[in-house]
Amino acid sequence: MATGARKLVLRTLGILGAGGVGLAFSLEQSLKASELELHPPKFGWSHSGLFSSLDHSAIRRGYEVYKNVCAACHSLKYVHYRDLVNVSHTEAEAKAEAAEIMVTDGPDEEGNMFQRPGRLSDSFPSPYPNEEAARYANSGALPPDLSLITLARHGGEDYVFALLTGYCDPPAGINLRDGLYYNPYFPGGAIGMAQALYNETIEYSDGTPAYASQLAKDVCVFLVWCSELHYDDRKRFLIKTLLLGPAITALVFYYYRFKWNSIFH
Amino acid sequence: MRKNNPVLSIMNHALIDMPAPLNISSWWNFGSLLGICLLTQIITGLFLAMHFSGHVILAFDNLVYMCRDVNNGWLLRTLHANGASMFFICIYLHMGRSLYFNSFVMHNTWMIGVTILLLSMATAFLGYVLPWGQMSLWGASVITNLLSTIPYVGAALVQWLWGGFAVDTPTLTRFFSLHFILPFIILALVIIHILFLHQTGSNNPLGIKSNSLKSAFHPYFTMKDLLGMVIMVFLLFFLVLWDPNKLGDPENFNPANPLNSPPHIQPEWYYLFAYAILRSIPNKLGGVLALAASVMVFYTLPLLFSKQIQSSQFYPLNKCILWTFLSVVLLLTWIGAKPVEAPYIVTGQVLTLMYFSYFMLEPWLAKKWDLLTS
Amino acid sequence: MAGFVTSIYNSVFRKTSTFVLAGAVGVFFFERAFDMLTDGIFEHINEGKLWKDIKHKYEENDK
Repeated sequence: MATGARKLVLRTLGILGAGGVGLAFSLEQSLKASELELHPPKFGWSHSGLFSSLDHSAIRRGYEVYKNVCAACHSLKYVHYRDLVNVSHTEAEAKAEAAEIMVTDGPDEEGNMFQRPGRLSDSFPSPYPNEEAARYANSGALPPDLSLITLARHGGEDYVFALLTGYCDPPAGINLRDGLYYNPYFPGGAIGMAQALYNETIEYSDGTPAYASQLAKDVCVFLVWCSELHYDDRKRFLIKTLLLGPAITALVFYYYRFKWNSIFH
Repeated sequence: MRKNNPVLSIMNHALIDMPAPLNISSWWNFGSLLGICLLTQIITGLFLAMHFSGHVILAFDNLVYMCRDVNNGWLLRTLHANGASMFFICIYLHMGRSLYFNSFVMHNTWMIGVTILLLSMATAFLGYVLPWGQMSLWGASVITNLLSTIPYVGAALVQWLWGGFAVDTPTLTRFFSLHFILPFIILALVIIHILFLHQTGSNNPLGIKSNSLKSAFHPYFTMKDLLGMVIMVFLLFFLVLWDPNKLGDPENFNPANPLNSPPHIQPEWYYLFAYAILRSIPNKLGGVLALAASVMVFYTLPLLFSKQIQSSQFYPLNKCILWTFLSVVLLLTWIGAKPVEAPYIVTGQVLTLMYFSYFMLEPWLAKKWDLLTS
Repeated sequence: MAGFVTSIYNSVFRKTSTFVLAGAVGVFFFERAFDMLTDGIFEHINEGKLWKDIKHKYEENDK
């Protein structure tokens, strides 16, 4: 009798609890639909699996996209040419990439600054000397640094991809100031960046057809790598943890039961 | 030797020969887990401090550098950040156990415990400011500004705290110093917490004196605690390696910018219940007092205790309101992450009322039940 | 079998010094083997995506 009543109480509590959670969840969902900005869908990235590494061919192609398109306005100040070595480029290739830029160094023996070709230890060049210059060149909007961009935005690479490919005409009734463009994924809808990626904006050196979505996907993978240089290491560690953790737990659990054997009946 | 050496005998009394009730359940594991959490935080924090710079121009860059170019720096940093979450998961479960089984009857242990909770919350807040991202700066501004509601001295107090007229380098440097020292104060309090606990002995699920049912701490509870630790460390590593930023706010990967506030300022998940209580009081000073009260109120629990048996197990009505209270805390956590808008404001206010009414209903219901059953 | 276990026990696990030594040596080999195993799993799951799978395309330019 007592256990029956107890079960009933527990069951009622369970149903009430589940109902409460369901109610909260549905409130949460319905309210999302009424917000003014569009939330990006989850895309099936080849790196989003539990043990999946980044696609290094995509990092290499994404680097090409960044260098030829994004780098015109966006800096990548925390990424160095040395980071490319054995990730997307060989050491010789990375050196060649670095040598394409000119870096102000110095002072020399006479106290003057001088220009020299870039080295592996240099970070990627910034397109503007300072924030004011960047704002002035972009009618007041500051192009953000992209080094941590997929970590620094809600939705991460899904958001960046949706933003890059989501440009459309503004809906009726929305008038945009000159120099602003409409993008439903951008908070507020009016974004200072024009659509940058079209079919065949650049040509890939490995011959991959350069559709706009391909360009956007590759640059997103590149940016994920920029944000998390140790992405692949993390996945390796995760495999180790998931193999070793349960094994050690089982071992300790056995030993614990063994020690408690005289007390358990 | 372990019984005669003055230092070892203390450890012996606490960890080896200490008699412990045999019937304590896994809910009694969280104390030792908290010890491990504290040690993890101190050790990872020590290594992080070696690369930290307390200047607003350098702090963010140094952390990025640390995560990219220091060997396994990314791992240390994410372990420290997620370790804080693990700490609070364990603290809240530890407290939940105390509420359920009325362990707070041990006044001294409980009072020190609530103090440890307060200091841990302060430490985590100070630590969250150190990366100097957007949420660091704006979180620090919002929270320190709460003091300005204190009449007469508020404004002066805030400036004194900041070391200037805004949250800036002096603030960052002093927050770093305090974030470094507080864990050691917590460690000292933890030792006192354990000393007081061992004066009375642990509580147990039945809430009765259990001297006939005790065994030596080692090997029984050392093994049980070891098992708990292995599981917790495994879960922590899983979280860190699976999705290290799951519990964080993306906004904090943007460097702090005093000219541009983020659209939604919200604290980490473990403060959300208190944040919701703060925001549900329309009056600013009232909100701050409610925020303080939301944690301080736990100090009152031993004073309110009136049961004849020391455990909610035997008080069905108290059990009911305890589970309601815990659900309310969860719901407040949800409300704390919501904007201050139509459905959430009233919901938050109702939940706040329910939160505080628990502390009044608890002793009253217990008394009534004792009358009924005696 | 039993004789083998006994001789292992007598020669290795009975004395603390040899026991600790066995642990240290064992850990060394276990770590190497475990790393090889997990890295193998990782590289198998991500075949074709890693740098080692594509570097041959770019390395011949070096010479």
